[in-house]
Amino acid sequence: MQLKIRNLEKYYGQFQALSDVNLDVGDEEFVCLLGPSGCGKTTLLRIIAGLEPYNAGTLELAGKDLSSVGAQNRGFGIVFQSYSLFQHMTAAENIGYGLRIRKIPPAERTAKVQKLMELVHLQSFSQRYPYQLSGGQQQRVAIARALAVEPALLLLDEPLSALDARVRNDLRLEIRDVQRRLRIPTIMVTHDQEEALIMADKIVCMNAGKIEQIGTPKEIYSRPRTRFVADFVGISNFLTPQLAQSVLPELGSQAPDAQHLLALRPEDISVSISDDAQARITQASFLGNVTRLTVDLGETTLLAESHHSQALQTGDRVAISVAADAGVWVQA
Amino acid sequence: MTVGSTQGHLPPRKISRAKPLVIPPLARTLYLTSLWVPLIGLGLFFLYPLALIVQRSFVQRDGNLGFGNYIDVLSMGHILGVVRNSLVMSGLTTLICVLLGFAIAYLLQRTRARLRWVISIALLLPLLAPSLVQALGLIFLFGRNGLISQATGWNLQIYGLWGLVISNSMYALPQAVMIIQASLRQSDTRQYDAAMMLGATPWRRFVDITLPNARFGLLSAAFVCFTVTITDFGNAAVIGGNYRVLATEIYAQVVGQMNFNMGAVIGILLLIPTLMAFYIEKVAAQRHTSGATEGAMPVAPDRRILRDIPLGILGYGTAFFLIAVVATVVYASFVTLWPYRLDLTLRNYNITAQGGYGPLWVSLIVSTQAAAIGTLMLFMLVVSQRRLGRGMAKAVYLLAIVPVGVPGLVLGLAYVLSFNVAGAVPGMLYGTTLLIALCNFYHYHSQGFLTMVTGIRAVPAQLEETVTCIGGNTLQGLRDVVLPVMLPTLVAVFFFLFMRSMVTLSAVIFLITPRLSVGAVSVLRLDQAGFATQAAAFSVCIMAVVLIALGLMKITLAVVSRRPQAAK
Repeated sequence: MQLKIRNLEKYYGQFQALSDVNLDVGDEEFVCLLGPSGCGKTTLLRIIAGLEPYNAGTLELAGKDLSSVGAQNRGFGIVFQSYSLFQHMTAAENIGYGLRIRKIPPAERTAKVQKLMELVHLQSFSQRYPYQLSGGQQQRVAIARALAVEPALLLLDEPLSALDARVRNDLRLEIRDVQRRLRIPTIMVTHDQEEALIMADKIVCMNAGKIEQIGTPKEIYSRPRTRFVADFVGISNFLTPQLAQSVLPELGSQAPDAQHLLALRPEDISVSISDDAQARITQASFLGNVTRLTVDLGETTLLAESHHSQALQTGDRVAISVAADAGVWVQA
Repeated sequence: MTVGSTQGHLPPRKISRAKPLVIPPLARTLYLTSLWVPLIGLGLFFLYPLALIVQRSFVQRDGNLGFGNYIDVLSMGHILGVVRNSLVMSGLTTLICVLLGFAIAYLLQRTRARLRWVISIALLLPLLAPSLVQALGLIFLFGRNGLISQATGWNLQIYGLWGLVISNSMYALPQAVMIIQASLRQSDTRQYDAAMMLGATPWRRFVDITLPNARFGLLSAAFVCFTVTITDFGNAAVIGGNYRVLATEIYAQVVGQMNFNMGAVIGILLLIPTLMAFYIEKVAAQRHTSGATEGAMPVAPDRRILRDIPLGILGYGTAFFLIAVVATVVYASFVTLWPYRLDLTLRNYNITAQGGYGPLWVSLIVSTQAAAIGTLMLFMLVVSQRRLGRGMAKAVYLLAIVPVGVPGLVLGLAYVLSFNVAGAVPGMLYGTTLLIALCNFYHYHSQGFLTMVTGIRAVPAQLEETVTCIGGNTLQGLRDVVLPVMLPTLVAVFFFLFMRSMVTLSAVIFLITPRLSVGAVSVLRLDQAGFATQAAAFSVCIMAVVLIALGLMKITLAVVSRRPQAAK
């Protein structure tokens, strides 16, 4: 079972919402579509679901062309940000809805719903109505409802964005755990890079209707290929080859060509007090576990991070250094 | 710029057409049916009659097409006077309703005056009965044999312009108050707080925030008052006296002189001011940007003696007047011989003239048909309209709200021209309750449609998509997603159409036949035949039916919008 997307194009009138999208989703794989709002990630998900028409390209599931299969017959599960539960049905009825539609006998249905309620830790809430459940509980019901029909593919459209931080954290791990146990290939849309890094086997980083980079969370974070990815996932300093040459000569000399930029993570820059240095701290923001420093080098400013309890303050003269293997050259 | 990317930034010149989504045959059939049945209905029972009335206005006495009828009408010595009369009467009524309506809406929405519910109830009264009941009540009080005229010896000259203006104002005022109150409800208290922090006085806040925000509501209210009164037939017939207006003129031409083509011309003349008002309101609506923000905090009512006392006098005074007039009608219906022998009797309810209570039952049947057909058609229309592209959806929307600009009298006349024909299929409908029901439905099509549109907006689109993805078909989506949310709206639209059909007079006055009449017409006929107290009794019966319908609606709404109780 594998989803295969080739050369997908989507227009809204003259506006190109998706251009030349190619993507594979393997068995048991958890894929995150990550990007800023308007990048086309939700459009892509809706096309996969069969809810949105597209202009060109092919979609295949396990070798079978999907273009003649309506959303109703694809056998996918979907979960939206807005919970989207039936307000007039109990949690158990909501979860059993797909089974009822498929005319599964009541006894079998009840047993299955029971199992799913346990899976999402809602055993004692089965007779509650949606308005009697918290946001997190409602979203658990929505997920269980999508899983009940044993979907060939689970589609999650920003399922956690409406929840508060605590609940979001718990549910992230829970969704991932359930997905691993049931081994359902899953595609999740999110604009939250932290969420994508925590949950995904594979991140698809999108910008302006194009896929910028596909890779494991580690690859995306430590080996971004474009400036957009380096900037969207985590924080980066960008230096032109000339600037890199003059500020950090040992790294600057490795520039592949003049079009690339050196992307440097703040945690890769170490800062130490040095009264005779040129560089100066212009801003120090205390973030709890680290202190984020803006360092003025004259030619440019860099963001750096300091884990030391050493009291670095605005105005301090500092020297900076980076490891020899730090930084990545990215397309501008 | 993404250097090294093979993708250009300009879209290719030719965009291949999007492959349409796969839609199962059942869904397709359902969708097409629910789109085209209401649209064909609008075509056959609204556009066609309307086109016919335009065409007939150009058919001259010699059978050729031309402006002959228009020239004839305009050269009738009195017609310009009649047009002026209509404009003056509706203009005055509109002015009174908007000013008084604003004061009362403000009193209800923004003050903490006591017993505001009395005013709300009083404002419901005129909606429960045919419009001419106001005129009837006024005559019982101030007419030649009126209680007050007799008691004081004053000759109040109630027949004519002022009687018409007062009775029409009573009829239109509740609608004006509802619209203006809705616009006052939208304001955000934070706007007022911000202005107060900047040092604005209460008066400045009123002028700079309240009035601008209510402007659109005031305009809508003016539009509604103008259109319902310029075409109202009942009051004009009962209390108009020698003050002739277009509504009575068109009736005299058609029913009195069987001059259908001249009637058509006057119908077109009636259409002009309404369509102008309609157009002005639409243009204003497009420019209108509401000051309301999402999640607006409602403005809390407060107490301010200098403002509340004058407002209260206006509000309670109006309420008293409305109640007094309707109460007088109810009282008169039990009186032996108004106003000379005031002992109570039930004799007035023994109605035998004008078909007795037959027309009341016809009204019930007509109203039930109009409500059932109307609710189903409007539901189909809004459900299918959502799937249309933006341009098409807008076209359907416009078509669906045009009927509000067509006066009932003109629609009724158009129906006579279209369906009172020998043989043929349209002719078979003439003289049936179904045709009257359809006429009433299309007369109130727009209001029902707008209510439905508001209702369907609350249907969660994503839940429908979830049902599709789970494998549900269109019918299951309708049953489990659309209906549970739309049920209160369907109930409201059903009873709205029912209640309006029970009391409307202006459209149906042309459609009744010697064998088929409705309740509102009976009231008019009884009054014209000199049986004023029996007319009152008949009105009381209509009001009772509408009140029962209103009660049923409240109960049904309470049942369908009750939240399911969780098992313990």
